[in-house]
Amino acid sequence: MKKVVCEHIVKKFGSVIAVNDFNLEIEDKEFIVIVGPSGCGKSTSLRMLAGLEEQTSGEFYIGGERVTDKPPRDRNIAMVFQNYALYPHMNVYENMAFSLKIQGVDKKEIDRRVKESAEILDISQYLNRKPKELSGGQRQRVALGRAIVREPAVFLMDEPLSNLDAKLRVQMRTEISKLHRRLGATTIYVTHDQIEAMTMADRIVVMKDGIIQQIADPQTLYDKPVNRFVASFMGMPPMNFLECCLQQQDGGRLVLVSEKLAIDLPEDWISALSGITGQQITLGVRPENIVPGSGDDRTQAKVEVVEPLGSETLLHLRVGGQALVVKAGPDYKPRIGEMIGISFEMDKAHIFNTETGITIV
Amino acid sequence: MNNKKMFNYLWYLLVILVAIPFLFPLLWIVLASFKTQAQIVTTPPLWIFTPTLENYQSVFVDQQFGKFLWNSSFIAIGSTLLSLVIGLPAAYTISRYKQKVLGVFILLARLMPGIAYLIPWFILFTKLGMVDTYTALIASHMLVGLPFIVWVMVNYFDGLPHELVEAAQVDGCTLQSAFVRIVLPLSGPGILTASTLAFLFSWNNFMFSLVLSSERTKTLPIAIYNFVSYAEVSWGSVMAATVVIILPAIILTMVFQRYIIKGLTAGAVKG
Repeated sequence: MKKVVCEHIVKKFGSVIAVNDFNLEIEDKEFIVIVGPSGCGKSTSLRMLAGLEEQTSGEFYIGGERVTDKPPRDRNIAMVFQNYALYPHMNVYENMAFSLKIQGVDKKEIDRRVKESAEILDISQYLNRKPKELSGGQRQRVALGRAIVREPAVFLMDEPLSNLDAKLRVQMRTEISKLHRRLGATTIYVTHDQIEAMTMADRIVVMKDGIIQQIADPQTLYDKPVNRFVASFMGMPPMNFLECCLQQQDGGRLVLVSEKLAIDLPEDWISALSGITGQQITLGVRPENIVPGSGDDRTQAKVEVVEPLGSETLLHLRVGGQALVVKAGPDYKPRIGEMIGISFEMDKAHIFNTETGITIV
Repeated sequence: MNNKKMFNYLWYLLVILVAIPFLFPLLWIVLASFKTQAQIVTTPPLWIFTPTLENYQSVFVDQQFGKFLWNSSFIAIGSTLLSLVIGLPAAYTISRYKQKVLGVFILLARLMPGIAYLIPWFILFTKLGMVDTYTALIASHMLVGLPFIVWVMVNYFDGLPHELVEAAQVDGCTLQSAFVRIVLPLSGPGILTASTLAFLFSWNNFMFSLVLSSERTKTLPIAIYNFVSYAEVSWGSVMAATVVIILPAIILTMVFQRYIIKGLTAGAVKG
């Protein structure tokens, strides 16, 4: 397995910049997830690394070797596609053996590798079947098997679980993670699902509009997003955003104020925020960092919807004119229309520049 | 009798009524090929008679139709195969790289009336000394066969998921080998359709063969005129020759009809 380097990759379609200055270094054996909304350039970036799409500018390196101008077959990669891309006229065995046959590998070696991979993926009993005789999950395993037999330097996966139902997706997610640990394979995985990203990745690359927003491990991304987009994209339910005015009060205290909302800010934030007092800023707080039924009467929220989930309750509240979602314990079930006090765990909260979205604190 | 059964009976009756005008002439031709000249011209027509093979003997022994059958076969198979060799990669390229303008340009050759090519071709092939050669006839028959194959196969290739070729490229294929190993095997019905119809066009072609062939390369549609003279028309022999000409077309269509329908409608629904 080898290190992968993407240097200043740009892709233009006419005047549209699909990928803008994409820079990424992936260590050997690392599981990288590129995540972002549809159209953000994540699949395009992956396809350029695979050699299926030609970049406008930039360089790719795999294992220290420049592969920018090489066709896909010479890059020592294996790819798993969203819709599996299994060859319909070949059975499972032939699908998995195809690449080895092209490379001229010995028949006995092909047989060994195919059967070994089939064993790992628990598809040995399907080797004589055609893809149309398999379920979605089985097809995806075959697609994984087709990649594994090649023993490539890098695995590329382009939304491989998107076509599966929710339950199967959870199951396959676990299997791919186990497979990665077992094989020690450098893997680049593209998805729009932030839960897949959080659960599978060593590091996550968040993209928007062709630009990398942040690269970090899942917990850092969750706790320290660099901008509002990253903060809103990661986490379910997503982070709450409240537009407030930053006011300085007697004694130098900083307070965030909005309709039916007043929040005292920690003292160690004063130095970061003192230059923007009097301005509109955005407060970001995750649903689990808001405590319902607490605080003083300066911050009051009206209960609009109560969603009991069994292990917890989701409360949809309105503070003044602004909506927010709060996670509460399973036994906390206020009445619809009730006014409740809420407080915020400010050590977990964030302040964003309202115009640029960049994290200030 | 319930409504559904009644509907089915009426439907089949309608099909039979529509089929009769199309099938009756074929029946007449086949029956006439086994009648003597006198039996053919008898009024009212004879439906019960003693069949004779003298017409087929006249066709194959006296007129040596075996040679013309060989010519038609060689030219039809040759033009079809060459059209496939050139047309399939062309169609894939047009589909893969969305070369719609090029596709329309190729189709234009098909839209021009064939008769417009006759005089220029005759002059050209005469100057090249190629009149009455297989080369000239195969080239002229490709005029329709090739655009037709391209037209059918572009639509067929449009329906094939492109990820299959990409997967093959990642697996170690060049674009060309992916085309041969993956695209072509999956395009069987489309290729069968296009090549059957291109073959039938060439097999039945009269106009180009009339101008560009002579004794050496005469094809079946032209050879039928051997039975037409100032004195008489040997209807029995004409009918027997007609049966020889239409039989391959009927057999091919009946054997491959399932694939022809599948090939012509492929790409209409994204699968």
